[in-house]
Amino acid sequence: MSTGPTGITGTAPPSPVGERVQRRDAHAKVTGTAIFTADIVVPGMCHAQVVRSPYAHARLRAIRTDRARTMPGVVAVVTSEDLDDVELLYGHAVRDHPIMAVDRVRFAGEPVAAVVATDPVAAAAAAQAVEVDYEELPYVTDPMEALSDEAPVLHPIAGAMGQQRGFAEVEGPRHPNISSTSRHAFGDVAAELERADFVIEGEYEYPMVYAYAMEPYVAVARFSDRTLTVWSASQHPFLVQADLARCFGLPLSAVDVRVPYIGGGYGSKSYTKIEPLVAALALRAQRPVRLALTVEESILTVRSVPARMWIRSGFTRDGTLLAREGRFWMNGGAYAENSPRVANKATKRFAGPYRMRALDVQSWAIYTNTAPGSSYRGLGGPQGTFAGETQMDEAAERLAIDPVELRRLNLLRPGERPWPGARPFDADLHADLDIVVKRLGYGAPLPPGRGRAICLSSADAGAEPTSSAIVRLHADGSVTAMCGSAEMGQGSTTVLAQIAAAELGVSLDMVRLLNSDTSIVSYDRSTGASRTTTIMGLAIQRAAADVREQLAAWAMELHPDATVESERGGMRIDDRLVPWGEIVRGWFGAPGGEVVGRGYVRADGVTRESPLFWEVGCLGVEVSVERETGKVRVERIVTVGDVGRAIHPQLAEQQDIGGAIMGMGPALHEELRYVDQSMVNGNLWNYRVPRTTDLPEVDAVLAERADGIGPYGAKGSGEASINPIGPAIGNAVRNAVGIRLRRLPLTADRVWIALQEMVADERPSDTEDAARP
Amino acid sequence: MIPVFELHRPSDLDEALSLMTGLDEVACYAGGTELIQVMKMGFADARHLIDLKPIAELGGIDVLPGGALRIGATVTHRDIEHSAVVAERLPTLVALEHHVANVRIRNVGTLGGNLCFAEPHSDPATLLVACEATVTLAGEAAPRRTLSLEDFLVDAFTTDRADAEILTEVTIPALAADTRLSYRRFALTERPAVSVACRVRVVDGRLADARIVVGAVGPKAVSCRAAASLDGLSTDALRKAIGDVAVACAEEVEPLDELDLDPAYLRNLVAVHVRRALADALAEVAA
Amino acid sequence: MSSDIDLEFEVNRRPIRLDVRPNETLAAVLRNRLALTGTKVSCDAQVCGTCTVLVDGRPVSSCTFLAADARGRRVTSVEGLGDAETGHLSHVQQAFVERAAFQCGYCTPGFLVSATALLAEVPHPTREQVVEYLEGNICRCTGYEAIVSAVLDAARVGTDDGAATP
Repeated sequence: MSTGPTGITGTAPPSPVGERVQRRDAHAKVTGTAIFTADIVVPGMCHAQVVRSPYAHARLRAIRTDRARTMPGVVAVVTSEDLDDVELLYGHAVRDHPIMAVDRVRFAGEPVAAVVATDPVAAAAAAQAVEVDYEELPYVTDPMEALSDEAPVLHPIAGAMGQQRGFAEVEGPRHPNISSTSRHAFGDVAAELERADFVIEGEYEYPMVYAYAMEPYVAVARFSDRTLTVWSASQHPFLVQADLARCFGLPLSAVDVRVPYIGGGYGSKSYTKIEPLVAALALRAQRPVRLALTVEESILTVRSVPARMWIRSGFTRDGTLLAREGRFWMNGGAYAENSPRVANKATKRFAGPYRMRALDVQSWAIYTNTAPGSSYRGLGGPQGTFAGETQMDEAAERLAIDPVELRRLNLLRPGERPWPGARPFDADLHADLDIVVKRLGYGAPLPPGRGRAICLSSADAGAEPTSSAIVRLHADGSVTAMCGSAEMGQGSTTVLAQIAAAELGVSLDMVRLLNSDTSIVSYDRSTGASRTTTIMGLAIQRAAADVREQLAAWAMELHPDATVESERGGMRIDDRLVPWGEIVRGWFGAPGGEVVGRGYVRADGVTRESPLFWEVGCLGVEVSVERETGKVRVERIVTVGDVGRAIHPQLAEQQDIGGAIMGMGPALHEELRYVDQSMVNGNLWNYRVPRTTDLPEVDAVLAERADGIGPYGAKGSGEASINPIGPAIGNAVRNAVGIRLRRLPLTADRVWIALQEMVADERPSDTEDAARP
Repeated sequence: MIPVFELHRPSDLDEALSLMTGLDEVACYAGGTELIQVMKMGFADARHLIDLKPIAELGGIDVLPGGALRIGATVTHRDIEHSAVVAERLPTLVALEHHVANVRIRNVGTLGGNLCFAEPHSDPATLLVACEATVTLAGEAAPRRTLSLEDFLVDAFTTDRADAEILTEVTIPALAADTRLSYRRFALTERPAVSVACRVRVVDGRLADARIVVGAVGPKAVSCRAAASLDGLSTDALRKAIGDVAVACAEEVEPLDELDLDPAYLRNLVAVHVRRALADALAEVAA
Repeated sequence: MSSDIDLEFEVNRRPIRLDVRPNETLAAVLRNRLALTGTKVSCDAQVCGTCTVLVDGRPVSSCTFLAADARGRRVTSVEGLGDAETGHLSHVQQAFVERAAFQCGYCTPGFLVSATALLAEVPHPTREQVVEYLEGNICRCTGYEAIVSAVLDAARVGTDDGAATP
């Protein structure tokens, strides 16, 4: 047991891995002392207000800022014309996004100017005084219309490719309103469908939604001492750093991105957002500038990418899945943002965790005059899984096979490759499915108006494995672990500290976790794609190993004749367990000093194969449908988190619960709508997210089989349950009242109308079908 | 951001009325949950705000001689929800207030403010119109005037209140003996999509004075003409007629277009909730 | 042009006197004038509950509550829930810690303050009562399950003795 900071007698403290330790950020968050970006105050800080286009598509004829400039408190009024010394375009997939509109606007809400003033009220007042002459242009908000010959072209000059990798050049001519095409294919789909006894096809839709991170976008920028410092609620500070460096012609070493606690991300705070804009304002104002957007402005900054999906599946008579194919049209908005990646991931995440001989899926990210589309939890997973798993149940009905049995028949086993060259499947979904079947009570009778369904999902998780970590062991044996992972609520600062403590055999309270300041921590590509536990966990393990290796060398140098062996918590030198700190002090010959350990992760060794791991979902629901009003209520959710090893079991369960409840929104009532030029419900009184009163009985269990490449066999979490919950609800509604809806959300009015139509068509109701689970 | 304004705190109603008449771009408020919100959003201009909270005569819940219930304009939703007097005389109103908006708005927002704002999706308006409530308005150089709430509510966000008038109280007539009152609502987003209030007397086994009020669907709460067909029916006959009456009420409502809901669906919601409200009222008979 | 208001009120059991503008919200005064940044603003429209503080023990949306209307009243923000002298957390705060009833933490002050008011009014609520009372508070991360459990835990522990009477 530890006797205090400087000594260890006997054995090292037990590893905190797998323990429900108190979260690092608990005290700060429950006392209100946790600092978020909105709380940052910088001396001399001014406040900005953005002027936005009311038009979906228009030429910018003139912007008159004279009146605004003379108003009280105004420090600067900035348009793109004032930014000759700034590289205006950014965009990690396609570099098509100007910091502020240049010669035209492409969506209602696009920034055209900004005012910087000494206080927010003065800034808002002056923003009203900016006069903009627009020449309206024809606009298009529907992605299918955007592909017609008559559609207005949003980007007559195509943007250059951004720094994001992995998009092949598009073959053949393409419509200029397509920002990106992805294709995921193997085998010969045509031949397999020819062989199939039964082919089913259908069209499915997943809505445009707002991630609603409760903290709206906010950033502070300051130029000083030839350094640009930006505080921002960003999931990817290093990617933002790279964009800022390029836009402002600075070396990376002169750009500092600092991320306090993030008030929710879910993908909506990934990649560059308002940082270049705020930095540009700070540049012109020659003062630090703070920009805090409202929720309404945040919805217009990015929203999720909806999908219209046509898919087809071929089976043999006994239910063996032979092939699937699909075409996905995805509304990417006015600027590509991350919609190319979302569209790409949808192709990888629709077919499900099933064995098949052929697959051919193509997706298009399409420009429209709407707010830019970007990441939303699951990235293409919720969309694709909705199509794939709904059709699975439809196929089961037509084949007269129980939907769970149909899935089991085709379900991948650990070790099989989902597609040629992919990492072998690392999850035992057969066992997970058994758990959900049992705990849901699948197959037991239900009263009328109630239905159950179980859906599965599989996502190629982890994104790129580029990462690094620094672990410093101090003269007293305490540890500072430094990593670029952003704490956005998922608990990374706790989980990573647990790993560091375990690796060095020190107690958790001796470990400090520093994160998310690019001037202090070392490079990590991003926080997202459920990658942090695996990738940053590996980086910390390697950095800790580096520490132990150096300490072993130091110990041998200090004790050349002794047997030296590294153990948990110290170095065994002959018979004595010497605490780490003593070796450090001994080597320096001084009371102070430290060991600096480095860990690198790239696509080699265990992380060479792609994806890093398979994030699988296995989720069952029970719903009730009130026929009179069409209202659907989720009564129960059972979900399995197949995480390999739960470093912190409570946090892992919470990811599944949070994701499932979040996914209930698009499934039942969330949909952003455009009428004419504008988004009509981009605010919280017309857009309803799940509430406490929506909470069903939730049974979230973990399956830990140490089958991941992360520390102790860990995989990742966070984007599992949100994938299958949409189709599970849809299929359960079908089982409850017999209607088949292929478009989410299943709003009460849509359900009711479908029920009326079903009665009108005199189709058999489900009460005749006693076999329904 | 709330635009700049001057805040006035008159100590009595006369002073308040004098300010309302004398100042330009003036508005009165108590809780501010509606007014401050629309000022923030740029939908209302007021350079002067008159705080009505300190004015004692605008508060309070009293039983008047004859049994009518008087609720002062500045009484909060929470006060009504927790009032022993209202619980005894009008428990349906207590139950309704429990569901208005959220707990924070109930703590601050007032009944008077709610009715003057005339939001189409107001729960209290629907029930109070069914109760034939009246409102009293005071003006500077005019006698107080009282009119039915039904007439006071002219259209969405529009009332009969003149700019310089202040609503002082809401008065709910004493319910006759054997009166059944019920209220039902259904919400898809923050605000109810439909609300139905039903008031009916049962005298010697027959219905009388039936009122069915549908709110939240159209621009204002509507007292349905179809309710008249209930008068004189036996309770048994009502049970059979409920469906037709409900559909007839649904036909009378002109739905607002806001949520892009299918009008047939909205009419269905009205019919369903009229049926439920009537059934609730009938169930009270058995009790 | 508007005249400042001389505001005297109590914040977290401390008497405060400030000149405020009529259009200053209680949230802005807490955050910008009193450095009590625990109260956050999200929707700015009284819908989400993030900005909840207690006025005379009752939850209000501080984003839309005029600071001037707080005169003579007791305001409690998240910073006032625990014991200022000892640093001890209130039962509600402690329950949130133990259940990890938060993730990003942005909505947490609003939930803590609301739950505190609920338990002051209804010391032993049913689960249904907790769910209903907190319907007006949005959380995006947790899915609410841990929050509801934490509030019920806090109710079981009993009323706060000594710490923060709202």
